[in-house]
Amino acid sequence: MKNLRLKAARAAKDLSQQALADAVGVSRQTINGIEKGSYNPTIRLCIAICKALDKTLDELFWEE
Amino acid sequence: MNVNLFHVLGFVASLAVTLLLVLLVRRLWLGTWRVRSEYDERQKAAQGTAYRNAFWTVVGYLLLGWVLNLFDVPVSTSPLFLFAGVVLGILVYVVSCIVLDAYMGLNDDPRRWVVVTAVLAAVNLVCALCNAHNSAVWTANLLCGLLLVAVLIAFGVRALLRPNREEDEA
Repeated sequence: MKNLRLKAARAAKDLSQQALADAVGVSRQTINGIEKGSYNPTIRLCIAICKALDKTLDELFWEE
Repeated sequence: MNVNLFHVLGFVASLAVTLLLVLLVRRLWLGTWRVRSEYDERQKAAQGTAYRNAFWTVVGYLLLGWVLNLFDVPVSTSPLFLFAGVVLGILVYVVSCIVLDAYMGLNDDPRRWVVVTAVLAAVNLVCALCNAHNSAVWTANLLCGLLLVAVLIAFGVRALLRPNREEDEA
């Protein structure tokens, strides 16, 4: 399932996929995979993304 | 087969010198002694998938050799057949990694990689041509050269079909 909230949070911070990837220490394709819903990140990566975007886990990754 | 001890020592020594040269070139060119690429969690998982693909390909290849052996085609005991199986496994692994965006590490430069791979492919193919009189060496160099060429082609096709740009977004 696509993660549009992640994409929106990244856009709100004016970060490209590459910039977010560099911030959390992964490849751009990994960030792309998370946003497209084709890759489920580990909790460690989720936390790193949340810290980079100043969001909580619920705000970015909780299914509604 | 008689194995000359000095030939073996020469082979080992040349291997050691080559490895040292590679490390030295990396140190001078990249400024680091580090030899391992860094991969993120998704890439490591994808490499596991690639390894599985390669494993089953090699199993199928060896089974094919066994079947051919049943029909009195004695290829499965040939060193060339076994070496070709190793090359095939490596090819499947590398191409799978390239397709899954798990080949280039986080700290790797794709352009440098392409240049080094192209040079190695050319060296192997030239060596194959120069050693045409020695069938074992010729075929080994040829297979390695073709493997590297195939990897470069896979990399090029992937770059053409799926360029690394933000439009690839969700």
